[in-house]
Amino acid sequence: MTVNVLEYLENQAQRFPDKIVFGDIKEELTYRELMILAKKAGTYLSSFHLRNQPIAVITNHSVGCLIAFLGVVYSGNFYVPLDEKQPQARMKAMLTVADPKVIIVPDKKDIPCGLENRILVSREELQSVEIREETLAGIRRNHLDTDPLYLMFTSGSTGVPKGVLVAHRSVIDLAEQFAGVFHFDAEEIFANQAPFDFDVSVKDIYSTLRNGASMFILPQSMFTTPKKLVSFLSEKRITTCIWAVSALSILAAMKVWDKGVPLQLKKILFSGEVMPIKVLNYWRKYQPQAMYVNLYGPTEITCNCTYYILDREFGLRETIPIGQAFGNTQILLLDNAGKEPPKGELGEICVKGSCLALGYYNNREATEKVFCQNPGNRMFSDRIYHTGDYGRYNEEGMLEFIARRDWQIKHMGHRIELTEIENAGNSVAWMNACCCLYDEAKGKIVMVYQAKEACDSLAVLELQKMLPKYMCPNRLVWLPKMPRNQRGKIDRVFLKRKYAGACKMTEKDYLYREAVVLGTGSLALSCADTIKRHGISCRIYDTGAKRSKTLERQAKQKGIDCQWTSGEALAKCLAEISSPTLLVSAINPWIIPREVLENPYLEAINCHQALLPKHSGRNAEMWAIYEEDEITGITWHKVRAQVDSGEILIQKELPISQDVTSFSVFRRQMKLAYEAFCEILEPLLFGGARTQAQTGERTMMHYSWQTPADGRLNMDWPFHKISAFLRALDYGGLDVVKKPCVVQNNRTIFWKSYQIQAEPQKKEAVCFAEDSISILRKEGRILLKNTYIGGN
Amino acid sequence: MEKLMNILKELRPEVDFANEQKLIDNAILDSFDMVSLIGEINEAFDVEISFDEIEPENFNSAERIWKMIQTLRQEG
Repeated sequence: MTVNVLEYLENQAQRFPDKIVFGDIKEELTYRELMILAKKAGTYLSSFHLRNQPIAVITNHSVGCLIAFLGVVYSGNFYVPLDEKQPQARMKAMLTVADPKVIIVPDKKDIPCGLENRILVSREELQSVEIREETLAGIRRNHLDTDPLYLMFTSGSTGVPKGVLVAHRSVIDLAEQFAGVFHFDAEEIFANQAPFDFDVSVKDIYSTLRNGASMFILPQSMFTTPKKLVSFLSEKRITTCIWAVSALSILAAMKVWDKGVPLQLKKILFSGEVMPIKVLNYWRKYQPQAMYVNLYGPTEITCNCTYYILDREFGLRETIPIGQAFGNTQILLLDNAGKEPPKGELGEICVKGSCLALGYYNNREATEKVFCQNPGNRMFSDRIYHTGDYGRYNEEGMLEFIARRDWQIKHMGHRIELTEIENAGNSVAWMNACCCLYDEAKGKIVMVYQAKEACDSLAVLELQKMLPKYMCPNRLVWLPKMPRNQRGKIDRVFLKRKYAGACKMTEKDYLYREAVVLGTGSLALSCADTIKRHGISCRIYDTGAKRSKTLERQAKQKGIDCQWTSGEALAKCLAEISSPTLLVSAINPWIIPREVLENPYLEAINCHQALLPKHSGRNAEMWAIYEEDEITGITWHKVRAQVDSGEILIQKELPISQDVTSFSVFRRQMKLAYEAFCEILEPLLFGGARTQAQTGERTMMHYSWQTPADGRLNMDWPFHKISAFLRALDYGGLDVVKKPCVVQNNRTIFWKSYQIQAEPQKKEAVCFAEDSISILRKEGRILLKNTYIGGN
Repeated sequence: MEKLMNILKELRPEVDFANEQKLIDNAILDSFDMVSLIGEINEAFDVEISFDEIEPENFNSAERIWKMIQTLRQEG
């Protein structure tokens, strides 16, 4: 019976002394060399006279780490892998939990921060002694298979990482089971992808040692140079990959086999998260001969407790089962009462057997929460581990993973407690509040944060100081105010829906259940009516300077509540809305104040009568005509603090011909605006409307008191400009802008109507008649009729 | 180019894409960033980045990425 993993090394060193056991991009070691180096390291470390104590090893995914690990084991202690690239704060937290007596560093010249006041040993120093066999034998005699082998950290929900302590016995159990089920032998050549502070690597290392196989370390950097990666796999003649799902996903996304398959893999074992069928199918297409295995299990049960060897094709909507328990391991499904649920029903996946870790190091409280006595056994010590995963058996008797109980996620192959990320966020001085969500569909961590101002890059930089890369949010959302429910708790459900939810298109799933329309005319009414027909309760606020009885009447006819209001009363009312509400501004002269825009439950959109970013501000259609644009249109956009600057939801174009007036353009814009509104309403209600930031030059904003040429027609203008001017100021009799006039001999002349005739004239002249002015040009004739003199 | 810069900024807001010349060589972008980027570029510019294009030279800077996109657009 094997009681120490070192027996694997020693047996194989006898069998294959000159066979390569481990290799990285810089060096390769034979079994005999490894054993000698490990024994030397063990001898050196034995001088500290530690027994069953933590010895940390700063890891950099190289062969040197493995020598250090085994050296620690020879000295009668357990190793704690700590990645050298760890942010300092996290390193500190881990060192506080583990409190290692000695830390092995790659070399003493380049020491990572946070290791002050600790005993440091370099890898070189480990090799500076002669092997003392009697010392090592003495240590060995006192060894028990229940002694700890390694301590590996996982994400902690309180912000402190948890250290899982695993004994020799569990790893021996793992190595034996894997060899038996997957028929590992000395011919196996492993490509180790998982870094050494990740327990997936345990499978590679100890499967290699037990079977006399070889393992080559695949550095993370090779994944950004996939061509090199493929060459590497081919040169080393890799047969077996025990990889994280994310690694396989990345290579599939890079279409790594599309241009040729230079090697045949025999075994592909994956774990860590749910395998997307698309990725699986890609691999199966190009490596059809390989055995594919889905592995499941948390670090706390020594890598994996169940396996499923794929024996058929899987459809895109299917999930791959997690399968059956390994030999010498038992899976219990327990419901909330601690009993087995009826056949085929959900229960929490619990694990029993030698695979169970010794617990969380230096954290009795956390340990006792999940490593408990089997509730069905009162008679003797019967330890089970509660995974927090929920599963059920399918018709074939295979176990399926269904869901996670809490805020723990799987992302980029890592197990992450979202609250650990939130804790990091909350420790940043200027972050008032933060909430972390996971968008499963996009595989992205979203952090919504509240601060005085948006500062995404600063936030990321701060978080990078505290969290490993895979825990850093992929998307940041700044809110001036965090939505909170009645009890003052952050409304995570709303935030998840809005920023991290998949867009499920069923009627019941509208994110916004209410709407408010601000406006003055027919567009406001038709928008409100359409909203109502989607089953969303809607009311109109008439924000015009003068109350519109027409709007009120028409709204009443459609059964929509309409009230004439604006200013402070309206602002207060809108700022206080505490349920998801769509705020539609449709020809609304009232500028929505900041406190309303800061309400996180409101989604405010506005219709602008131009193609933003051109012509922001008032009377945009007038300026478009006056400036002789060839094209204008409408823009629906999100409302932001800066007027007319928000992200664009939709735009529709309207060509400007030589005969249009502001009045006619405006009317057509209203039609377009309504069409566009109908197109974006559904996505908006679901919270999934796509937007685009405004790009291009932002022209100067137009103010309501501005008029082209201040309303004064200049007789010296070319024909087309006079035409444009007249048509731009023509609102069909509506009192929108200054009346145009012409100044002649200190008299200001207005007119009641005008006419533009495109009949070319032989002469160019300006004729002043009793009650009209004719402007004759080559291109045509302009008539200003019923003129009169007025004050300016 | 502006569109590309927006995509890059959204992916990694803290990186100075205007000046960085060794995004891959200095491991500023990792394989996950690369895959996300490939997906976004394919969609935004209607191209298809294949295995052949995945070289550090094509991803080391914003200009290089833009050049790759333009080459693909001409071919496609």
